[in-house]
Amino acid sequence: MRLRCRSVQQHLSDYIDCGLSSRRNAMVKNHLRRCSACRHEFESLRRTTGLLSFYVEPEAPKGYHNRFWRELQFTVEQAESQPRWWTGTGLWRSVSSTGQGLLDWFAYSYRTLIGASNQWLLKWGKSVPVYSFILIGMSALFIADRLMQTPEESRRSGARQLRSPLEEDPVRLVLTQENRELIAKREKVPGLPQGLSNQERHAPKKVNHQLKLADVPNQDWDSNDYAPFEGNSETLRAQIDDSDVFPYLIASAQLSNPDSALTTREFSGMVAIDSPFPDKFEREGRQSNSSLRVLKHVAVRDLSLTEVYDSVKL
Amino acid sequence: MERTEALLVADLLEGDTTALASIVEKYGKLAYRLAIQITKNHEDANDVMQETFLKVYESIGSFRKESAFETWLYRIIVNQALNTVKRRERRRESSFSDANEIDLRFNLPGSSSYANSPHDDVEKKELQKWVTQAVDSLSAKHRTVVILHEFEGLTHPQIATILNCSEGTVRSRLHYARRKLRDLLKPYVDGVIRSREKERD
Repeated sequence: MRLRCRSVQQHLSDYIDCGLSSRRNAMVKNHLRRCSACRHEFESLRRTTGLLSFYVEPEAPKGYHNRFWRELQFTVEQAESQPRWWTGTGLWRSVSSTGQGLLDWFAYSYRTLIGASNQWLLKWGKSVPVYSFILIGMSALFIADRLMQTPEESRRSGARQLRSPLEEDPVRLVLTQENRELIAKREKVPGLPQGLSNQERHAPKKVNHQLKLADVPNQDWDSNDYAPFEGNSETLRAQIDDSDVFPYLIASAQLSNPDSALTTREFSGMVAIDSPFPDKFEREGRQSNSSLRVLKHVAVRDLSLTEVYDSVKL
Repeated sequence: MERTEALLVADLLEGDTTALASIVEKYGKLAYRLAIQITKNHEDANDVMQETFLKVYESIGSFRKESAFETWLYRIIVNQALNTVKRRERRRESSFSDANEIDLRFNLPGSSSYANSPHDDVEKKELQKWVTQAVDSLSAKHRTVVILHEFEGLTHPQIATILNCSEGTVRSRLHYARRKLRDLLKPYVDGVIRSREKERD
């Protein structure tokens, strides 16, 4: 191989990526016109690069990303719940930095001590109780510091606090203008009561509608797990589930018969909401194009369906 | 409403887990794709994912806004994945892991652009298998450069920043990897060149 060819072949990869200077690019181009061996080399590398489009990218198992988030969230929460004792108030920090200096001095003195004569050993040995006092004093100050901390300081001395999506009160969110605008859009969501007045929307204790799972399109659901909301009078109790990556709603329907207070029953069911990620929703490994979420049965707060819907941050 | 990258970073600095959720939602697939391409098995890729996003959460304070968040994230993923591969090799479990490597890819239906007939379809699947195995057989550092350049579309300087090496090193690794792949895919490369020459004649 001529030196020229070797030099050109070293630059072929950059030539394919158009990563050469214009001068060198022209030089390689001219050479390729003349040299069939280098042209063959260039062609083969270019074809190889082209063949890479047949590489099959591995895909994550179904439902992996949702499961992954739950695991990660659990890990983060575990880590965050561990208090970090070494931080504290300003008093402790200043004392501890002073203590650090003293300990450094002690370490330095000790090194000197090792290399010193017996006379020095005796002399320095007498000051050992001084160090003990320093350490005892620092410990006492640390304990006192912890006792003096206000709850807020104590909270801050832990790790960064997680701000849960539930921290914002759903009822308060209902009152924002943005959410009022969202109410108007809500009518498009199947399964929600139609034609309610604003007053009814915000305080519907009795909503005359039937929300049947069978009426909701594109939803792969299990009738054994999720009973439909049925009845003439119902109150929905719900909360936003902060244990998931998405603002899940957890709701239950309480059907009450006006004739008898004893016939109250609870159902788990589903509430239609617009998904922030409508095309990516996965449930138990099954992909769904629906913008609806299937909900679990845990009822905590007394909110109407409308209030729940409105309170979801879209 | 989708938050901007800067807002996500700011919220994450305040400890907002919804920001972390959004980051996972936005970059989770990218992270998994890179992790599994480098480590070549699901368990290791899952570990890389965990370590990566925990690191993002814990070290967001050290993120300097000089570079893009995505580049910073790439760097974490690639470093974690390469470390995982190194650890695995050190444990000498590679033979066991190789057996578990994901070949399920070849059961996936391919895109219809190439396949015109059942015969083409078989040929295409065969080619996909060869190419994928060829890329997977490269060493981790060469494979990483190929993945970042050819599949993720990153430039040489970007890859150099991610791998914390010089641009020259990136170019040289890429050149070596291409030659190696050319040798591994020789029947296909030669076949195509010969048929082209025939067409030209």
